[in-house]
Amino acid sequence: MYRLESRDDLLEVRLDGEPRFSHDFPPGPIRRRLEGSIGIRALLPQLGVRGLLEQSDFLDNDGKVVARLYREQRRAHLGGRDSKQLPSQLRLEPLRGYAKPFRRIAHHLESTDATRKTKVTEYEEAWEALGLDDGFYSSKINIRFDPEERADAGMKRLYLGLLATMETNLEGVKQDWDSEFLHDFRVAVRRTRSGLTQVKGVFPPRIAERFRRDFAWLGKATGPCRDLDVYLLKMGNYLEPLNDSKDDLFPLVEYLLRAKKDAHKELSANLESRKFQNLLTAWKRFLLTPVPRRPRAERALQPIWSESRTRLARVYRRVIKRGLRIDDSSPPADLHRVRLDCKKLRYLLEFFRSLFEAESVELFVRRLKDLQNNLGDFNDLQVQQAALREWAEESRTGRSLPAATLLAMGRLLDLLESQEGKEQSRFGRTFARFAKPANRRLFERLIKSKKGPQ
Amino acid sequence: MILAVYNIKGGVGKTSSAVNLAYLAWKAGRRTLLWDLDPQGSASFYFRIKPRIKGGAKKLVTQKKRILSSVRESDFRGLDVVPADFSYRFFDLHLNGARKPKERLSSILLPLVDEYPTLIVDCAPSISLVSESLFAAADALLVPTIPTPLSLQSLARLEKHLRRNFPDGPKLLPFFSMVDRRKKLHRAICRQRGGGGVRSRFLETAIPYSSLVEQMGLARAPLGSFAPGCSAAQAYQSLWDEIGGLLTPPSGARFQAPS
Repeated sequence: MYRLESRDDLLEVRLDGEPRFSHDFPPGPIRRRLEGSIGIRALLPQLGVRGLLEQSDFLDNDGKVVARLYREQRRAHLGGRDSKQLPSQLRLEPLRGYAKPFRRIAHHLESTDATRKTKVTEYEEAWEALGLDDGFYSSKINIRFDPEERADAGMKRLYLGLLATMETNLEGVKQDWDSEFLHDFRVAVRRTRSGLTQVKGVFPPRIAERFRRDFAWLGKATGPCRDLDVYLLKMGNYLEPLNDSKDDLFPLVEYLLRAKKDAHKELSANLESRKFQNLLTAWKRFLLTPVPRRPRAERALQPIWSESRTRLARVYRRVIKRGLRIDDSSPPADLHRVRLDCKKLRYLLEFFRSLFEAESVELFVRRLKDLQNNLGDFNDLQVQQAALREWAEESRTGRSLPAATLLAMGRLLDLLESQEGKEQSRFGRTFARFAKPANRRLFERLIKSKKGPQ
Repeated sequence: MILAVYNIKGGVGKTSSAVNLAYLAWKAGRRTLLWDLDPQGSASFYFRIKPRIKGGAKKLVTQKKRILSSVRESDFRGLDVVPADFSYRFFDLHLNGARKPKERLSSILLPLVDEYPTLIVDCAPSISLVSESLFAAADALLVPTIPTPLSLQSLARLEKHLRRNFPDGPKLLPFFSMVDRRKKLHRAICRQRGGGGVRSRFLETAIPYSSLVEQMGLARAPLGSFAPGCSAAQAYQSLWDEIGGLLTPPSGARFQAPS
């Protein structure tokens, strides 16, 4: 029996296996709510509550049971031996046709001092009793800088936050609980690498170079697995336009699932490797070491505000310059370069948002997002086509795919190609919107909007 | 599946059969409802349920779905009872006042059939409009019969009546009840089960006369719950198994009867 308990109500469903994703539940209210709240994330056991149930019956003058009272002594645990006592819970169960005595007994129970009516869910009670933290997790960067903070110290704090995100997600990546652990892990890696590349001169060059190289390796090592995750998540979109010949694509799904398994095995090996362990410990040790009073790095003492401003302005100019050069005859590689610059700009904005006026940042990011979506879709379509070609090619030599599947893949390729054309032609308009004077003024205003110490 | 426990004669072990069979149906894991249609309210008494329903027989007959609000949960979760009411003695009158009186009991029971795979009705003795209406509603008529010539005669009359008036009506399932092995006559009649006529219809199982059955009135509980090992309780069990074998029950919702 699986229960979804909220403060307001309680839904129950009977399942045979252990559910992991919302789609493991039968269509119905539980599934609808889960889809709304967890999306593609997995459900993982967090804690347990063991109870000892005592039943007492309320009898009327004829000795007939008119209500049942359950008293449950409960202990919360985290799987191990340690457990914490929870307050005993009384549950009064009505019997059909005996509403009146039930109400009377309930009223009596509620009016005694020994009991307290609760709206807190058992999960919340257990969570609190076990002294767990608030359980809040977000992959978003949430760091506040003092504008005058030394650049090296500020960046170290930023990287520590990103490192914490990596560590939080590491187990989920290794166990492959769901695709988002790896996604968040990779984003933290990429942000770290992007920071090291862009905010130069705040750490000794040799050190910065070493970690830049290592995080580049880590990004690469996690790539194949993520790519396959994305293809598998997108499979629904692939299948839809194929209508009747959906089944033809199933061998490809199986093929991808096998490939994903292999890729994950390789990734796990990398995450267990000495190299990875060393990277994490060395990086952590470096970040936790207090900044030197007289640093060797030339920009270490710069206030974080001016440093961030310089970097933002530089990348922004590059986006504009490269974007303006693009026309319909430009090769995809040019769009690709603009996409990467946009990404860098976005990362910098996320790093340093606390230094600038929140509204301007938000507005600017929204406009940047439009451009990024366009470029991202364009890139995805290209990558997907390349992947389809590669799989077809691999199928000739290695694990082969049925002819019907290859034909369906061909149809899919045509479809993706026409979509790609559309995205490319859309770029001109999207970029013009992004680069229009009002937006440029917005950016100028943004980087000048220094906020005081927090 | 609607089972009516019925006999024109009183004092033949009708109520104890209805109560014990309802208990066994529940024990077998089927949600079960027992309707105590006898104004004496003995079945209700056995379950310690007050023989009273709001609105009485009149409301039950005149208002659709009224029966739902009369359902009482017994001490056995999943075994529910619609208790008797003294106004049931006028059930005939109310049926007579209604349209299509003979189909009325079917429509009264209708809201319950989905919820309860087994519905057992304990009827009052006599032949009346109520019993006629019940013949139309029931899938089977369980007729506890004391092994005496007169009882067999009245059973034969019932069979004839059903054959004539309810050709598609309920399956007639008589069984010997309150059999006293010390009595030569009882032994003799039980032996002559074969042959033609109504005797060939008798179920294999016979319920012996037992003082424990009488003690149900003291324990105010089905036999199976306080003396499951006694011969009468075991006879009811094999009777229930036999009935179950004869009637293919619809695949209703099964549930686990709590032990």
